[in-house]
Amino acid sequence: MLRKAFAFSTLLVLTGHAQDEGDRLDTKFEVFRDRNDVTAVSPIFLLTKGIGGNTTVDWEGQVDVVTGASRELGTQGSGQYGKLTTASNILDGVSGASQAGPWEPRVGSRVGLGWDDKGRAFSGSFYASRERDYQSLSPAVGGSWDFGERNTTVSWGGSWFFDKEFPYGAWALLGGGDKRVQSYNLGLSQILTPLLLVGINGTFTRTTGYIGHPYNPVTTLDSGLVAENLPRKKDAADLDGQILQGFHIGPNLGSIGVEYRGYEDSWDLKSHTVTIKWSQHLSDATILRFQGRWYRQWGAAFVQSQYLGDETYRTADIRYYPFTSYLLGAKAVSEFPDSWAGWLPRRWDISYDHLWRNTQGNILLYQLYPTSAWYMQGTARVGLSWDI
Amino acid sequence: MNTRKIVRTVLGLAFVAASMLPSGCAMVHQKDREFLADPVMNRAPDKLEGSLDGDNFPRREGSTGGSSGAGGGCGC
Repeated sequence: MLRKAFAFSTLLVLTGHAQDEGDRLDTKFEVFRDRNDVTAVSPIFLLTKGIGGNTTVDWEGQVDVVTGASRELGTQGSGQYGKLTTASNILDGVSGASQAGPWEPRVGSRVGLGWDDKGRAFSGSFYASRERDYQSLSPAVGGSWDFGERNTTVSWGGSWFFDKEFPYGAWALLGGGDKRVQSYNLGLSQILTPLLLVGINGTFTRTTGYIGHPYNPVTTLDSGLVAENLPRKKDAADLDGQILQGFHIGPNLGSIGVEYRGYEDSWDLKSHTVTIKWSQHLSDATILRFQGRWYRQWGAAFVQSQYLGDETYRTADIRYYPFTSYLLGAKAVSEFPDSWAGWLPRRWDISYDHLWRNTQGNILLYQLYPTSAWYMQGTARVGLSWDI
Repeated sequence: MNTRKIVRTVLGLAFVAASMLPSGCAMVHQKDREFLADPVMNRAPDKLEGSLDGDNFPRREGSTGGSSGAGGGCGC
């Protein structure tokens, strides 16, 4: 979610100039499916409108309906919601979180105000989301400043999350409470040639309060179950460097972008991410984009494969364990004929991303695929945009 | 890695970047930026793509540091 707060400033960092936008309505419909039979559908819209001068307002709304949030962990035998195949008490496919019904909805909305004039830009927004056992409220601000004939852009942003988790049923005995997140970023981008951009962005994030959730009780060596216990504070830093080179294939412009992201936090969890994207015009209106992403994570200092139950900190949450993942994706963007007008959309896009995670099947941990296979997931999106 | 070290690292790298990037770079004038304004030269995803990635991708991947800002949501 913090990415949402930084999207505006990041956009400015990477392009080195403000984006011209008219009044428009953008929509997307996302369908997700993974190898544990978790399914999610997520419609989302964004309404953007100028209100005079150099000021715009926007309103975003999203619904996320899921049969599980995404990771599969060992809660078997917890005696609470520990039966994956019981339709009325399905465990989260990946996180091990629980849900009381076959579908769990989350709704979120953001309103934003932006101002942009002659290389100076400021934005502010407020975001709120709610699901059955979690609530998040987040104000955010950001801005950017172009100088050096607008070849150089400095951007900054800050966001604050006031979250609360309130587990239901027996889970409430194991955890819950307030969580606060504050995050600050500073970015710099530089236009080097008419076809070459570079940028760097650093972010510091502090999280305090109840971090994690109670739905993954730790299984001890004697097969007992004890509650997860995580530190109540985490500081994290990440650094992101990007380079984007444009080129022509015949008359058509294309670009190759390479991005590296390094992350480290005070729990000694580290990760590296490398993403490569190739975007290519097929015509003036049609663009294809292909992307590949490699991710490697080293686990937090206190994670173990087995616990005695008397450790100060312990977790079974897969998010804090080491793994590697790979992603390949493709996207097409184009426009409808100019003759389309009125209520008809002007632009469309379609995409698909496929991810592999080196987590092998294990029926005892609810990984419902062969032990010789890796976890996989696919995400498809279709978007339509209107000028209004 | 303690907090002081994290802050020092971020500030140090930001200083190095701020020192190096603008220096010695030839200016690209406004009239030469036709290609830079093209969508293929925009590395950021479109806004809705960014929102969906930020809200949904980290918890689905099961990662902590895999995308900008690992916080703010539960996904449970």
